[in-house]
Amino acid sequence: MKARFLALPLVLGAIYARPEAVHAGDSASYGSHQSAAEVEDIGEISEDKSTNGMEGSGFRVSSGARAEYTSNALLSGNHSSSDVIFFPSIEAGYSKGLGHGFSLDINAIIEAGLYSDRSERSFVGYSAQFSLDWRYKPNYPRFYIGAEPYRFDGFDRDGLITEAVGALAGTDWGCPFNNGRSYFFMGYTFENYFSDPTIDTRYSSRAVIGVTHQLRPQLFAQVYYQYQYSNYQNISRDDSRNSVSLSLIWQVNRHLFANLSGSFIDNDSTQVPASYQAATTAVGLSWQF
Amino acid sequence: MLGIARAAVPFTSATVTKVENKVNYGEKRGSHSTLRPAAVMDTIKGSTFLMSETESRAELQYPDGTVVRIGQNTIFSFDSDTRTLSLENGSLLFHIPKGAGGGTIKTPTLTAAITGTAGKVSNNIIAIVEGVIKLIPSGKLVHAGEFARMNPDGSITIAKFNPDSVLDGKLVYFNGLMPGFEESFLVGKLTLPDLHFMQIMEETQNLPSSIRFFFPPSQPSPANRSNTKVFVPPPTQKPVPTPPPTRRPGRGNY
Repeated sequence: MKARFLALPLVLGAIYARPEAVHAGDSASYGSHQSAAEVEDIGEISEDKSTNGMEGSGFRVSSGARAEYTSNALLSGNHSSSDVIFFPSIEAGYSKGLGHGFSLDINAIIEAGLYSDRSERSFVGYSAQFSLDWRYKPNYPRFYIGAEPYRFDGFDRDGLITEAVGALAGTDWGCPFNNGRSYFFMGYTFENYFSDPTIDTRYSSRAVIGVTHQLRPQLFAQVYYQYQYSNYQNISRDDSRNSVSLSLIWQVNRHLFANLSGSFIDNDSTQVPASYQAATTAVGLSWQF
Repeated sequence: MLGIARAAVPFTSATVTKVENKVNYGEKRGSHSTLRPAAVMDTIKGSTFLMSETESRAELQYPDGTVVRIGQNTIFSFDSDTRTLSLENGSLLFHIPKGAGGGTIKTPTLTAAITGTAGKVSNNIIAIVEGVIKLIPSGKLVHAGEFARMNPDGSITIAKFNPDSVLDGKLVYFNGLMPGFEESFLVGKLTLPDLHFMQIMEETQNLPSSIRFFFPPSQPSPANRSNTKVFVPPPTQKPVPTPPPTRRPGRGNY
């Protein structure tokens, strides 16, 4: 469920790094490393090994905290159950380029949802994502397959809420325009969740389309639309879910991001208890290493 | 050295606009140089130069809008005739506005023709944040997001640099954000966090297994629910045995 589209904007502005050796006949040899003073003043200038995730590898860790106001905390089909929910999270990942356009990505998340008024709904979740990506060339569509186990527990004595393992496959693509200051992206994912209890076992198809624009050097606006269809195998339930979201993202520095967003979700289900609408607005901070 | 002859705005001098710690203003007189502490509003001309010490920095602005920021342990000068910015040692940032006439940038190991460009320079590296430069004499182009580096064996490497590092370095924010750097390409690491959290809410509150919320007590749960703990209320009272008949039915009773 944690959308593979989360990775889409990671390719924003990234351009394939193709080292090119040029023999200079007019220059004497010189050391190739920067001094500490140079790094302090202009930053380290090193080859980009990531190159759209095609070659590089490395660990990453991030943590975040969001406060979200929703008009329908009970998911009851109307907007009469507003609440403020806090979402702290810790995330760690590792990616490795495998050559020939393949890359492997592993991600683990611990997160919680803490309801202000309806504390009985508060939960903690554990999830992981494994994906194998392939892209023929930079700026070409990306194809991926993966798996995602997750488990959610309530904070009260009831314990387990739901757990599942999802198998997914999908593709996405994006391209910069407006002199590189805007980025269009789109994608599609198919997922099959095998859950325990089995009543949650379901297929899901999801499509997203959106644009990110650089308003200021470190201020980005992002709008996107997402459609998702889910079919539950062990219960008579089909859901059609439409979502739109507008976000402002401020990159405070290389590691710290602030986010202000608003979303509207309309979930239409053949199961009456599952039909709902929700409008949310949220502020958040995330710290990436 | 390639001089750019189409300068539209005078490039004969630059004004010191900010000084941090110990930066010296030097003037060449024959084979000797004289030094004095640099100060804001000092004018740098053809025969003068700036020399910074450790933890010292300075900013220069030219009449055509060109901005140069020099780092610590740096010696910087320029030639107004050829519009050449010369880094004899250390590091600097530069921004030459588009249409200003361009120029040449020279380090101890690299020389390049520049037009409307912004970049980072050290002794053996020129990294381009905006625009494009042409290396001299090879004619190789270095585009935005790339750097040229002189290697110890005399070869030059041209490659992409890590885009996350564009805004790294004290000089980038030395006197506000460096002009030209706001044109840098979109920096990655953005995520789409919003719907993620709504999807989590749905998983925890709106999946059938979330029995407390999805099937509140007033609603019947589906018959084909499996492997799910369904609360079955215990019997409220023991079955009452049927009392034996007190009379045998017989004709006599009717």
